[in-house]
Amino acid sequence: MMMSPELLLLTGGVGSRFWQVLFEPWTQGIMQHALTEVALLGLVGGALGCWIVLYELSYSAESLAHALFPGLVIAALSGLPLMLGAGLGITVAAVAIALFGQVPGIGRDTAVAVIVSTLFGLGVVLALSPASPPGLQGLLFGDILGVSDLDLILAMGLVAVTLISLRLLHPQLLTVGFDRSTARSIGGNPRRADVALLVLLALATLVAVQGLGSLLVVAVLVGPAATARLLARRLTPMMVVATLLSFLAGIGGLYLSYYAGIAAGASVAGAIVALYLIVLGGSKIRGLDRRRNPLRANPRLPETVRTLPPVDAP
Amino acid sequence: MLDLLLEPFLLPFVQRGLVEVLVLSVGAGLLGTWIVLRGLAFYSHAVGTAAFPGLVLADGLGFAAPLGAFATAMLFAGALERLSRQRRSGYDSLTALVLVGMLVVGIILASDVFGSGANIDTLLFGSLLAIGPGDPIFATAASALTLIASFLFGRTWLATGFDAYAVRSLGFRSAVPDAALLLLIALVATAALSAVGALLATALFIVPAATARLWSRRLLPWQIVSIALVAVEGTIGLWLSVESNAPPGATIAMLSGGVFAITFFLRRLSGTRVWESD
Repeated sequence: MMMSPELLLLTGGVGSRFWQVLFEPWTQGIMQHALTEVALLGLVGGALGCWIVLYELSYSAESLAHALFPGLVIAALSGLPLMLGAGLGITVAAVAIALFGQVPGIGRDTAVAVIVSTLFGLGVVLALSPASPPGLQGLLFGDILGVSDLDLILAMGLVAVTLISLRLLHPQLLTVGFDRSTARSIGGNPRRADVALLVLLALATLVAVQGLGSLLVVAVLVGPAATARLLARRLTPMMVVATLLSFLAGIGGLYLSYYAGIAAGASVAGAIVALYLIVLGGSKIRGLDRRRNPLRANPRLPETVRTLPPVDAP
Repeated sequence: MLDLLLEPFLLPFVQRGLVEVLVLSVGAGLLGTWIVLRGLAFYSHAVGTAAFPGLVLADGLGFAAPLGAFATAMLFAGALERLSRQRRSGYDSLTALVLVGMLVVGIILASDVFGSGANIDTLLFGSLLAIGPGDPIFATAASALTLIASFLFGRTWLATGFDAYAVRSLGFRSAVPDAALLLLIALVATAALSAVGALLATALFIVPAATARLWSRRLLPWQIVSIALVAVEGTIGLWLSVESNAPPGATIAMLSGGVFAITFFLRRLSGTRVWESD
């Protein structure tokens, strides 16, 4: 007779039943694949995600997946490998966003809206044309539990490329991110930094969206980094915390999916949002006063300075 | 020749679509300029997409879809406002997080509670060729409210768009007008859902306003050109979609994007230094 996991936890001798509930999901190949994919994406989410949050690229992270549509359809129509077409399409979109975003009066978010809605519209029109093979839409909405070995190898390649590129670009990104307007005078190049970040984002989206679906891609790229920003003040600790948080949310979400029978992508994404809210609530209770006036927190300062009335930040 | 061109517009369902897009053009074009000016593109995309759980609920419980969509759009705007007031995370990160939260609720409701299917897809993508009798009325109301609010709050919106901090010192109060702008975007985004769907609402709002921005430096001409552009692109897109049997929303998006690209390169050829950043 099958017992529900809750019942197992409550009735059995806690010891062995507990371990059984804990380990049972990972005895299945499908869940092992999902766990590996989530962990790999967590590495990208930790490192790249922090730059996405600091450069305010969330809109691009949310929408770029839709822009690979026309490349995909054109590749399918002309018999090229699908990944090649999608990769070309999404890279063109990323570069276009970086370039159009520099036009005064337009701004980057408007550029994202213009480019993504145009390319998505083009993709839909092409995909519905009589010459297109059916079932193309399925390529846009991945399923985390249907991750194949090829997807995993691609994801590993992505992690390597992303981490190495970010390490090489680090000084440049830091210079521009710190102060965009004066970056040029100390050897930074805002446009190059934007293009580099957006191309990395495009690459991550391309590889991840097949296995994970567009919802989870934006969740992993923005959520853990935004949460880590609440906890860490320096960049490297923020990246480490973000990576750990993605692992935590990934594993928690997969347990939830296994035992509650919720779609895996949705439950991991839900866990990421929940984690942000918990940390936000927790940090408010713990350090509200200290945050508002950092002087108060420093015990080395004289009492008169620490008890100054709080200054309203502009 | 002209008869042949106008022939699709004799069909009643095309006429309804035409009325809808023309009525909507006033609200969408006008609001588009404010969205571009204030950098609210992500918010307007997200508030439309966040309607998903509302559409699922409306479908599952059997009430009017625009009602569900508007209710969830308001919920989205409220949650975002509440979280952003703490100034702990960037506005764009919060927009993404709240949107992900809403979509997760929508997916769980759709797959595990109601088991809803194709109906939601139609609503998410929308169609100008399947406009119901209530839709133009809703669109008219949304456009009228946009006009009224632009007269009332336009000066504050404009001033805040240039310098949010100086506005208070100039004696404008910007909390109420700002909330009104966010509310209005939610309303017009909901009205546009049935016409072009959530994913392409930005094509109707933002692309024409961005195109018009390349030609105009002053607000009033920008707004007029923007409204005219939505109306013209909407009409031609509708005609094209009837002729080519493609979905109207996607056709309008493609057309508007093409017009933006052509405008951009014309401006560049004519020697305007559009790349020069500030």
